[in-house]
Order: sequence, then structure tokens, then C-alpha cells
Amino acid sequence: MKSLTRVLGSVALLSLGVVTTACMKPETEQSKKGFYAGKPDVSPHESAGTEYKFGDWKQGDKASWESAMRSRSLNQNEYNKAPGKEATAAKN
Amino acid sequence: MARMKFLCDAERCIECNGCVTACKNEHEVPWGVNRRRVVTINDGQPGERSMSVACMHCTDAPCMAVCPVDCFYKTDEGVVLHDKDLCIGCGYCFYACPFGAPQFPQTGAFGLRGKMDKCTFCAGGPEANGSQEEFEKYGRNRLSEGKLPACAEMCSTKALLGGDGDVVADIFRNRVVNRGKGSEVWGWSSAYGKPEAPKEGKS
Repeated sequence: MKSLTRVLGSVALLSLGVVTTACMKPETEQSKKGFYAGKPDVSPHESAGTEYKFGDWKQGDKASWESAMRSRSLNQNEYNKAPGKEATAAKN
Repeated sequence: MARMKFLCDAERCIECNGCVTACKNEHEVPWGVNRRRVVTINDGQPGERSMSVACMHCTDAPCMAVCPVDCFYKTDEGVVLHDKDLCIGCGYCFYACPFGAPQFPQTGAFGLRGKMDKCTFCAGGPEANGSQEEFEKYGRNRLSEGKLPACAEMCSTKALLGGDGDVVADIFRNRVVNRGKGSEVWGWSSAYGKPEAPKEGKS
């Protein structure tokens, strides 16, 4: 009788866990699309192109836009611009 | 492409407020609204640190979670933006944000609050890219022009980095490896080099 009670108790606990897990929302759900109630936006690479456009990326081509942005981001690394310690030491 | 991120190097920031000025100028932000600001800790004491703070474009943004009208959205580049036509200026996002990023312009007497304004990572908003409507509501859309945020590009010491999170992290990692870390990177000798030993024969 005791073993039957234990089995029933464990089954009840397991089912309770399953039910509560099913009710939980994933933490990242808020960031998903679908909760936004405003106007739709257009991706930057799909812009109509302004007179201030920089780089040779093509409108609508996401890969070329990403490549242009990446090269522009890399320009922030001044170690690429100035010679390193080794190059300066070799020169001297 | 990874998510767009800002990274401020506290060892390099000299509290010049160039980023704040660049942002104000680029987007013609109204008086009383600061999308970006510089915070200094232990001001005037040895080892003081300054850091440029704006919207961090959180992965799980609390402003998005608390907005009662769901006016926030996240772009494919990971930039958190909002629709000002939908915003009711309730201020919940301001209380939720740990960085104090949401700003509210005073639109009338007695401190009447206007619609929320915040850093857009220079990505504009839900209007036609580069249009006058977009500029008036959200400021310039530099990403659609193939440029990075004005604050990061204007930073004189390159303390503030912006762009693809992976690229920015690589730049910062390379920098730390080259200069070291800890207290030795702060102070006179780091900025101007160690003083030379006095040569013999000279008084």
C-alpha cells in the first residue's frame, strides 16, 4: 500500500511539474517579433538611399551593407593605423 | 552580423563630452533631452573613471517588457527602437531602464511630459529611411547611410566604440592585451611615459 502511495505521489508531482513548466514563458519572449503594435520599419540596407550615403554597398543587398559596416567598424581600431611596438623597434 | 553594441572603455574616456555634443548636433535633440551623457565616478580623486552612457540596446530590454502600448521593437541588427506615434509618454520605460536612457521632453507648462525619446543607435525609427518625418521624430538614420553612430565615430580617444558586437569586442580585447590592465594603465606615466633618469653632468 505504501509503495502504491509513493508511486501515485511521484506521478502527481511529475504531472504538476509538467503543467507548471508548460505555463512558464521563455525569458526572451519579450524580444520576439509580434508584440510590437506600431508601424513597420524598413531595414537600413533597404533604404532609398540618401545623398549622404557612404561606401559602395548596394541598396537591398544585405551582405554588401554588412561588409561595409564591418569595415567601417574596424576603422575604430587605431592599432591598425599606427605602427605597432615591434615595427617601431625594428625601424630604430 | 551580430548585434549592434556600444562599448565604452573607462580607461580612455576623458570626460570631454564630445559624444554628447555629437549626438545633440546630429539629431538636433531638443533642450532638456540627453540621449547620451558622461558619468564620472570618484570625480577628482586618483583613479577616477568616466563612462559614456546611453541606451544599451539590451537583448531582453526591460523597457519593451513594461510598455503598456507595445511601442518598442527590435531590429534585425539588435537595435531597440520605438514608435513615437504610439507612445503615450507614461514613463514606465524610464522606471524600468537601469541606465536612465528614456528621456521625456517638456511639451508644456507644469512639467507636462512629451513622448519618450532615446538613443536610436543612429538607426532612425519606423518612418521612411532618410525622410524628413524620420529626422524630425527620431533623428538621422546613419545606419541606412552606411555609417556608425555619430557619438562613437566622433570620440577623440576612441573610448566609445560602436558597431557589430563581435568586431567591437575584438578591438577592445586587442587593446587590453596591448596596454595591460589594472592600476598601471592610469596616471602620469601611462599618459606621458616614465620620467627619464637625470643625466650625469647636468644640474
